[in-house]
Amino acid sequence: MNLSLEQLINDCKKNDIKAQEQLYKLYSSKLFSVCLKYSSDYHEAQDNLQESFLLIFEKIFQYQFKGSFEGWIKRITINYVLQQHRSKVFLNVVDENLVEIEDVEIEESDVSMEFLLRTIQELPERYRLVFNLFAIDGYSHTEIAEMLKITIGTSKSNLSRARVILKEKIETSNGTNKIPFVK
Amino acid sequence: MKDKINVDKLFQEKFQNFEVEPSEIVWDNIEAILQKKKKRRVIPFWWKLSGVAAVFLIGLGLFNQINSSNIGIPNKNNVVVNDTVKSNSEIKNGNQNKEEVLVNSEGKEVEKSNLNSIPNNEIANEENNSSIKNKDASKLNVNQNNAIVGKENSILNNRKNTSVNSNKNNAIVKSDFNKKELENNNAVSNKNNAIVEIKKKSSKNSILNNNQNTNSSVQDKLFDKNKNGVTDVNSNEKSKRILEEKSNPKYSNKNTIDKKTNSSNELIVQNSTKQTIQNDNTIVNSNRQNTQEEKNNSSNNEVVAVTKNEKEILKSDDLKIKDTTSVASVVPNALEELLIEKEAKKIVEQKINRWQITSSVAPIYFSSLSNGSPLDSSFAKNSKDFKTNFSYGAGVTYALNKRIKVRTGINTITFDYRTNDVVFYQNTNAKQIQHVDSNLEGSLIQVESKNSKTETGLEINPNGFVPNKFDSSIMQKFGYIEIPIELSYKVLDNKFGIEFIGGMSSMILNKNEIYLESDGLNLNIGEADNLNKMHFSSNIGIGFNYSFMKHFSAKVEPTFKYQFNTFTNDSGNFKPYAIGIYSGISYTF
Repeated sequence: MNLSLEQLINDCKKNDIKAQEQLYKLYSSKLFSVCLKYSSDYHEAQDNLQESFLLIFEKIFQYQFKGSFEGWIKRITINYVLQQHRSKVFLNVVDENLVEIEDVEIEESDVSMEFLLRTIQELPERYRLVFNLFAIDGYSHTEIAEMLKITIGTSKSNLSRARVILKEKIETSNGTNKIPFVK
Repeated sequence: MKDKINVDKLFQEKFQNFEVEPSEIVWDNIEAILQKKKKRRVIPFWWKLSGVAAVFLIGLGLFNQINSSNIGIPNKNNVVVNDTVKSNSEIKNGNQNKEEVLVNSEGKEVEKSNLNSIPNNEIANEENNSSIKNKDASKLNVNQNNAIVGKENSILNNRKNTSVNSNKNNAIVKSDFNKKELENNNAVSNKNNAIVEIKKKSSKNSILNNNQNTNSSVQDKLFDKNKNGVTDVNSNEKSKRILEEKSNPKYSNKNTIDKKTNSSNELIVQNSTKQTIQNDNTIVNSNRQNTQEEKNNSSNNEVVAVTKNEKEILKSDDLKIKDTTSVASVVPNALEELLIEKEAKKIVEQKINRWQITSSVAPIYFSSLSNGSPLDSSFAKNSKDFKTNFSYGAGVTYALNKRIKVRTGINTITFDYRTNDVVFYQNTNAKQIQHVDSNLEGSLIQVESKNSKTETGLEINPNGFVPNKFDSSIMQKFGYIEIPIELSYKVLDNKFGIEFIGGMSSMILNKNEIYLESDGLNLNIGEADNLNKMHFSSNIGIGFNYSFMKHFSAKVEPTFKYQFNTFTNDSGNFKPYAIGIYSGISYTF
């Protein structure tokens, strides 16, 4: 581990606000991207980022320099977002018994980052979380099921639905927006 | 050709190096919250400090009380010795300049045990000396006698012949050594003193009255002293023991001198009796001087009662004083009277229950003297509702004397007011209210006055909606811990009392919140950035209290508190004040 980072973390453990600011500057954009993926919009992402950092500063004394610090703070962020999701009381209206679709393939197109982000954000919350966890951040269905307090089947089904929705959106956008295809 | 690509893979690849710089607002918010957390740690520290200060103050008060009742006495005695000598000399300056010089010189000379340095009245001295020599009296006593006689003679010399003559007449009668006659003699000499005073025009009628009062006590004392001298009775009242201790040697000596000279030689008898009368005179004179000093003295009976109480303490001190100063017969009496007086005062004062603990609750009517807005100048003309809040607190009162009290305590106080007629809408680039340090929610909400015509360009929010404007109002809440320091002056002091109260309060900020209020919505949008962490108010009020039990009383105190420097720099011409009707119950001890 980088010595200066270790020093920085240690200073953060002492509630040194300058160190905290430095740490924030170091990781805010990475964590903000995580938040953006996991949140429904920019503001919610901002909110989640803020709360996640507060949580990080609060819990940083627990960090024992085992494993990557970035991984640790990312986990905290994701966990915070999931926790927010769990605390929301809403009815599960998702069809659980959808057929699993393993591969959803689309024509590659020059879709913008902003567009992809928006499509992800526009997913129903549960789909978004599952898709993010599984497809982008590489969690297994077992882990996801545990984290979201759902069954593995639900997790898989949510993932499939998410894929379908994303595909549709990207394809329709390609059609309607007439974004030129690139080979 | 279109390459088919897995959706998962697409997102994975795209998001691999996806980083977005968040808005600066996020860090600002985090920083604010972190600092707030630190602040929260600071406030208990303040509490501790003020706690320590309170304990210190109370401790100081208690220490002073204990100190003044026990340790203070010896110190006072020292002071008193000086005072009495001074005051004696001052009074004598006014009346009898020559005497003063003589008395002072006597005092010193006696201390140095000089025998013959006071040749004011040679005949009297010679006669006295001879009579003493016959009796083989101790040297110290001789000194005393000499001193006394010297002084008396000097006084006699300074006096008019008329008073001396009357004394002499009485003295012849006195040679019979009847106690009653001695009393009469004293009374006569007192009268003479009174006459002398009138002649000198140096004293007022009240002083004359005082003289007569004290003369009666002097009579008692002399009565006892003489009794002692003649019959050697030691079983006197305790309260008078101190007086006796001082005066016994002198008077008993005189009396024995009188006795023996009486039996041996009539002439000497006359002389010596003269001397005793002269003694009486000087004593009375000294008492007169004392009474002049003790215009505020309570009646002599009280004084005697006090001496009973303070006897033990006084005894030891008196002994010391005697060693040094008592030899000059005038000084010890004055000293004693002063001491007694002081003790009496102290006892009277201790009857006041100095301490009082008070609990109080008050509705606080908060308002502003002017129309401005501390939030934003654009809200200056908006109507404002001031909410009535309650203040809770506890206080300690210490009575400096019967009328004036010092009081302090600790209160919580919150000021809420509402700025009406504002609208808000969501806007990512919201223009912030001038003096609001917005939190995240607040930073995305633009608030503006309904009246304001300068509508900053409506922005379409990221979702593409034209924002709805919502009617609302801004609720600003700021709360303080108030530490008042006030003086109260009692105008009416009965079962029902009235007092005037004036003072100031230190207000320590402990709550600073701004809310947007709209149909059922109550959204914290941040805090004011222009509130001072600490400010002061000047307080003025009138207190009514009614004591319904021995130690308990109820009070109502309408108080006006004008707030100074509530805001750091720009208060937007907002001049807040508060009127509180403080009511509570006090326990006095």
